[in-house]
Amino acid sequence: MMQPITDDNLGAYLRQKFPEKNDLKVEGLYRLPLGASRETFRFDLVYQDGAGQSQTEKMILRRDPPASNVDSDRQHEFLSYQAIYGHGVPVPKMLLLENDAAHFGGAISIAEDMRGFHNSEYQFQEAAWLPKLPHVAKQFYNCMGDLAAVDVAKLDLSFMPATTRETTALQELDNWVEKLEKNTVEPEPICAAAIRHLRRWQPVATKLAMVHGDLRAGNFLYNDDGDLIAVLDWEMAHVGDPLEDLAWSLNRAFCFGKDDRRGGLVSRAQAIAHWEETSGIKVDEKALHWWELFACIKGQAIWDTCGAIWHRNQNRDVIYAYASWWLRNTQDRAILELMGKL
Amino acid sequence: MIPNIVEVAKDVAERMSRDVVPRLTGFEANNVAMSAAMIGMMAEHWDKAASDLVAENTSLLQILALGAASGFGPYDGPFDNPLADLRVHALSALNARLRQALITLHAAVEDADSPVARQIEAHIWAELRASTERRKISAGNF
Repeated sequence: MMQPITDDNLGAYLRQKFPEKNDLKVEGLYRLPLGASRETFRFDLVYQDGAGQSQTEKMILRRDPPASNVDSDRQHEFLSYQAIYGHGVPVPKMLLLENDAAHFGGAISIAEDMRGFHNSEYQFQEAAWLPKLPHVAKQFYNCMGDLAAVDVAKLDLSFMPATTRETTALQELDNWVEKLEKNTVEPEPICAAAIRHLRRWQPVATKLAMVHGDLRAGNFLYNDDGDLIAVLDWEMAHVGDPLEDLAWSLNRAFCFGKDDRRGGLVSRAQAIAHWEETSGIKVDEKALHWWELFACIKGQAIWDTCGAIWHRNQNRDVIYAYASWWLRNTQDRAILELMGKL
Repeated sequence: MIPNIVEVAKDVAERMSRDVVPRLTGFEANNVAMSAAMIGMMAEHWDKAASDLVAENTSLLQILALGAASGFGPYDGPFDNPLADLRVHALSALNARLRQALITLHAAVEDADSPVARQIEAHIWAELRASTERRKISAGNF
């Protein structure tokens, strides 16, 4: 059981961290329904500045849970946000990292809260949003292409595992197969067949890029007009093949409209076209197919891990059981489709 | 149990979604919405859970027997009665053992270059396709 985070104990902690902010207090602490991997809270930081003026800053706090469906931590995500900040892909500014779990029962990070925007993959399925979806899709896939175009040599990614254009595919496959095998909730014959297929050949990346790792509808902020405001949830960021992000976003598990539109937004072909516009990369369909099948293994590893964490009583948040029930069959169907067996 | 379990579960799920979720916000609303969806999934699979598992286990046993008869690994006798215990947890445990054995057989026939290997491989894919359909939930995105 995690210790509670309250206005009082968070305020006491932040008064030590920010002694220059007089009469500091935390108001309106509120847990948001975001994702399965981390706990996310919103709050206001209220204080008097050096001139005696009352100030209010809007903040987001994320805390590492005792067990998670992804192998990452506050430090990795914090440094990932810092690395990409100011390089053409909009992200919130990181403000504080606390790795000592003694304070709140888990490491925390605090960032600016970009309020007044949306990040719901389900909102896109509402009738009022349908006319805006082509614009949203162009914004999203152009932004993904922008990330692919960023020169990794200009980013401080020294905290990420090293890789090469030739080895990144196999490295990622090995990582996620290991996770699937460690946390599988039952034998996965469809995944096993896909893994054997993936091991027979791997693509060589056209370039190395900073890969977000979970870039899909639901992980970016947008305004009422559908303009993309910021990309969130960088905890799985790594150096790799930029096709990995594109393939992940095309995963059938994220077809929230329950039709062929990827991410519930746009056709696969149009998504690729938007991505090519800004990435400067012409998609190799054979390589993308490999990454799409890989994305299914990665997805199943995450959904199985959700079920395993719940089953082992490591974390009983409802979303862990729900994700396992809701997504595993979809992921198997996606594999069958990609392998021409559906 | 009367009233019928499936009908009760469906009704509870609908009432949670319709009457409770709108009164909540944030994390709590999300938790109750997911809980309601899960009760809906239980309702969807409750009545057919045992028959689906028996059908799947029977099919898997036939494929494994064909594999063994064709020289692709020994047929493991303890798997031989899909009706020995019809409780869902027992059928699920048998299913897990059979699917694990299927993975081994599938890998073996993939590596073999013979008409019978292709035949068994086709049976395996047909069963995997059928099992995916049996396990499908209407709430799934695909």
